[in-house]
Amino acid sequence: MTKSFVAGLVVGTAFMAVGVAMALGEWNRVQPAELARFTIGAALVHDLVVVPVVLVVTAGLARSARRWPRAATASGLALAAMAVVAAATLPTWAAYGRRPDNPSLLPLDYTRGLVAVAAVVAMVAVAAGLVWSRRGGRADRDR
Amino acid sequence: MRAWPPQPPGLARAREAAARPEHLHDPRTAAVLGIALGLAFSVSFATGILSRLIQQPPTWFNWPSRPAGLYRVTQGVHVATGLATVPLLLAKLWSVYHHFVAWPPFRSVAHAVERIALLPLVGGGLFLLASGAANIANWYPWGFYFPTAHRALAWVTIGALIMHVGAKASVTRQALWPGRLPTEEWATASAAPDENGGDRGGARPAVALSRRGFLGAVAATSGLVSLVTLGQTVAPLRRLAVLAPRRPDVGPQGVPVNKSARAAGVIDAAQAGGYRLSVEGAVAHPLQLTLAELRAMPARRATLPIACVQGWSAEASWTGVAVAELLRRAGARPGAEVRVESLQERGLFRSSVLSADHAADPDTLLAYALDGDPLHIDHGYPVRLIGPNRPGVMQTKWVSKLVVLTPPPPSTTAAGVGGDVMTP
Repeated sequence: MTKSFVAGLVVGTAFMAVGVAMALGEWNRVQPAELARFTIGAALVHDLVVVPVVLVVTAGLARSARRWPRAATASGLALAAMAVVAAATLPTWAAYGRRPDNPSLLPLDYTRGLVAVAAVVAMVAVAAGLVWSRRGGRADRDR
Repeated sequence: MRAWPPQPPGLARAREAAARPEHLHDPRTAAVLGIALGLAFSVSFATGILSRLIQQPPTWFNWPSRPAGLYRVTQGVHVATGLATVPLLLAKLWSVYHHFVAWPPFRSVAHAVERIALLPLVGGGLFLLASGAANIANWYPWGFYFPTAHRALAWVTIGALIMHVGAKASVTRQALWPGRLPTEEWATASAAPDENGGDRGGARPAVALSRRGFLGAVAATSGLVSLVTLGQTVAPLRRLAVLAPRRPDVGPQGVPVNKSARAAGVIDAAQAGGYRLSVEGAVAHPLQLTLAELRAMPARRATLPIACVQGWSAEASWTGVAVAELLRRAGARPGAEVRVESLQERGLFRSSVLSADHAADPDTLLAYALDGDPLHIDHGYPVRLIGPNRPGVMQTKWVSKLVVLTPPPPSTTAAGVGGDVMTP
């Protein structure tokens, strides 16, 4: 056990204690049981669902990478980037919080926004793939 | 000799698969992402705590009224950092996922403590980002009160983060500045993913993405998330904000609103004739003013932002009467705090308190016009509070009353204790 481990344990426990005291102090508002359900649920969904799916997809891409390595890598990165952007902004583009009495809230056509972002990401991926292929081909010739 | 407890079948292969390509799952990649993530969470935590202090200030805390746009910046940073953290967190978790299926699960008491602390770190981190993203889009698919739960969990998550930093300090140092003496942790952290007998040769893709390329892609994704959302507070980027929950130029009179008059249940009260603004409490001459009388007072115009806790902001030109002028006419003692009350009968934000600093600022207004036109009812018609450097939820709308609170003891007030002060 290193000094930094012990120091982290002591200070980290103090911070956690503040959070737990806050949750217990405002029990009715925080509803610790439901908060714990959401928190543990988030970790479990990520670890047991999201990552395994990502691993399966990347394994598939890795197989195709044997024939078209640069294209597969570029498209894999583009797919990942778009998926992450979509995940980070899901509550916005799904517009679950839209209210008829407040047109300034979630005011945009988010389907169009998502398509536009996906198109830009795809174009960047294609351009990067072409540049990458050209550089790779030159490197292969120089070898 | 076989290790105990026995490893579940298939785990070694799963770990091996999760650790490919190796250079994107090594301690160096994890260290770089971890440092970026630690900084991002620290910025979000600090700005979140600041927002809480501003909204519910303890006695030792005084939030100044200047610079006028400081809260806009701190809260904009809070939300923008949170959104940009999503790619960082997902990339970090992906890069270290093979440790999740490590065997045996615990090698020592210290290792057990370290791993158990990962649950609040991972679960808390994911939940903070997910709940924050839901909050800025006004979506609450849970039963708890978001601000309190978000804040309590932030303390727990930062605590778990500090523990993790302490546990990984040597590995991180070794990963970023190799050449130092190998430590036990380094040997463990960089151990081959197939330490239980798997085969790690032969499966590398023909073109492996370099570490720099991978980290660049993560940074670019964070940048992209920022680019498509940041325009909700940085007006020049508003046309790029295609995935932002707000546009600073969309709303009644070209300014967004958070709570409409209908949602606040004030339409009838705000539109009824006979509106009166009361100035009462610790004043020498309580006032009752009609809207016409307010408009007849010396008007002041100020260009100020509405800066919402949800991270959006919009600047506008407001016209109204300075609160300081109303307090002066009512004979309030300088240095007093003022509670601003709304026509709204219920709701956590039906009133707010102006600190002495904010009450005295000449640009803290009871505004009746926005960009030269009478206030839209959703912006607080007939009169709303607007002041520099305040959270949007403390810019009380549909104002009906200013209550001057009991002033602090003479020893703590500035000069100007007049003889005409009336104690309530």
